[in-house]
Amino acid sequence: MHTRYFSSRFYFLQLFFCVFVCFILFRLLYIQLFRSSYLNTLARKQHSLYVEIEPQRGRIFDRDMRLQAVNIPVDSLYAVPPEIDDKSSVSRTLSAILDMDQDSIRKKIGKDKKQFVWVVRKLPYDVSERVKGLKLKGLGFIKESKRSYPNGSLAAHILGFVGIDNDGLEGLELVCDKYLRGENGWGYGLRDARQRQLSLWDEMILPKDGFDLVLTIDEIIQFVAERELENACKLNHARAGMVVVMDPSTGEILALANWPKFDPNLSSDRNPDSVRNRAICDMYEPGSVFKIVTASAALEENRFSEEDKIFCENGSYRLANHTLHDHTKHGILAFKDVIGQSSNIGTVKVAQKLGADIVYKYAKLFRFGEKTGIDLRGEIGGSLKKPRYWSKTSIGAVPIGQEVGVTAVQLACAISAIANGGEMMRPYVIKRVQDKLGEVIKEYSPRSSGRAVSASTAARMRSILKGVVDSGTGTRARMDSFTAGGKTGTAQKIGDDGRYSHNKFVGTFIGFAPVNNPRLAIVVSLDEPHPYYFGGVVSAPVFKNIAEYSLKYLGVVPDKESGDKKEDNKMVSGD
Amino acid sequence: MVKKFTIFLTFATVVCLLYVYQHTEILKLAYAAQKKTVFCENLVDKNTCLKYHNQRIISLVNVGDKIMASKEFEFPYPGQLVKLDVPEASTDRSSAKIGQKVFALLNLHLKTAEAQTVGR
Repeated sequence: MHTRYFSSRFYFLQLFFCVFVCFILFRLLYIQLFRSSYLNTLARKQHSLYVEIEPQRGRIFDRDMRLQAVNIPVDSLYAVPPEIDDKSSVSRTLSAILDMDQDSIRKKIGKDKKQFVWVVRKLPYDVSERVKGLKLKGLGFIKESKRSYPNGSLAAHILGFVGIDNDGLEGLELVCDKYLRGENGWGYGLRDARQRQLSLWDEMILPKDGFDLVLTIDEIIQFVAERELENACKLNHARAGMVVVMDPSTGEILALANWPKFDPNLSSDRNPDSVRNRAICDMYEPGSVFKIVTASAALEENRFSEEDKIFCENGSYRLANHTLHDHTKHGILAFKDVIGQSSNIGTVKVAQKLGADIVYKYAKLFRFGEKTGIDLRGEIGGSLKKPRYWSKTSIGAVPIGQEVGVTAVQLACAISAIANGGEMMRPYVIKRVQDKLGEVIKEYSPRSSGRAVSASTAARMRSILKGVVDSGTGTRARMDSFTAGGKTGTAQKIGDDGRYSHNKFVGTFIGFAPVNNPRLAIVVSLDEPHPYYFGGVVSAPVFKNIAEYSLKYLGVVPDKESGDKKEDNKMVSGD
Repeated sequence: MVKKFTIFLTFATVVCLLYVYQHTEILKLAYAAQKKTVFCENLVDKNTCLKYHNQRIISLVNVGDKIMASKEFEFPYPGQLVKLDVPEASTDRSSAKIGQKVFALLNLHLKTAEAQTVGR
């Protein structure tokens, strides 16, 4: 009896168990067959998190692979407003550490309907560590990468800078954004029940890091150029200044400096005045440095030779109701001395013999009035009027660098052409684009944009320009160990009333060194220097210092005995 | 029958528990690994930051001005001989001085050396 009773209970239990198992099996089948996609989606939403994976922005190197721009990992601080209990206290604490206005923090973390608010992006390392140490509820950190420039303001006008999301905003960061940026990756990261992200990925596409840029800029020469420019601007109380150092045989820009400068690491340091790359964006009347065009035209057209005599009217020359003056009264000068002493009257007389069309033709051959094609953003082409638009006085103005607008880079290309034998080289700052392993993606090579003058004319011009430095208006550019050639220029600026100002000038020096095998072509321009404003006084010494340091650094063997120097450093005002 | 069922049930329970335990351990390990990964990532990040700051400290902008400001500093020409300032021999026979002299003799070749230009 007992056994039967037990047996029936056992069978009942077995039956119950079987029914239960069957129920579960049916339920499982139902879920698998009919509810699977819905539940899968639901589960995926809970456990997976779509994450965009940021690529590493490409680095920027100078020509010797010295780092100029790099990415460093930083923390960005965010808040989950509903989780913050005492908002006033939190905003007060953060305000002290972040050096931010308490009200603005309070406003951000006061948005209770939002689950995510940025408090500060890309905090410095020490600040983020201090905030982390507070362990405040409702605050979190997200790792981001910050673009940083280890050399601070060095070459800032070339490198440019990026925005908060690492998009290029200025300079090469903008021009080469497509190479530097890379491609975002994405993935579904797994989260646990507490919504913490695990380092496990459901699905993942890796980001493609940006390519690296290698520039033609040389960090050392750039440093020397910036240092000398800054010293000169401060010494001469200049409003601004620019220097371009170019390899005349290739067109490679070795240094491009502007003053005032800025530090791309500090957004507070940026203002339109300091950020502007004046060497390519600012047009100004070149003054006497433009005489190299007139002189080259005269030699190339065989209208004049170095020893031809020109009467310089003892400093005063009437031309179409306009009287032209020289700074120093000259009588008869040889053609080479007209350039050496920078006689306006002599140069205009040469130009009158050549005619407006010839002067214009050679100005165009030296690529004035058009963009040089430098691989930087914002270049302007300057201004050069066609002869049919010239006034009666233009023949007395254009040949001596008035009524024309040029940029420092255009002047660098022109003086490079004379230095390299007459070839106009396209200036460039990007040497190559390469990937992280050094594989070259794109390479830029020297490119000629035509011939300005013949090799023989260029050689004759080099000799004349050497005379300018040796005994003309540019003696302050003379170096102890290297020969140099160059031309000074002092241009009056146009005042607010549209007339030439008598107290605002641009002092310029363009030159090359050494004379026989030029390795460097340099342009130095100071804007509104005072009290001294002559190019030969304010800019020539900058040329000298930059050229001397750079040539030694480049390993160029001195081509001059160091004994024949320092005879006269007198004030020269003939430019 | 009961015995078999009980054994089966016990076995199934043990297997389930083991399975759950195994998964718990896996998760624990995963969290531990995650913690270490985060720690390593932080170290790598700190290393990157340190390298960057080191780069900043040794950058030309920082040290260049100081070097150039020194009146005694002169950029050498290629092939220029640089004479190092070697202190004159003293008559003092103290052990320190003798040591210095021995060291100077060992490094005699350093008295004149060809200047090396940077980079090239």
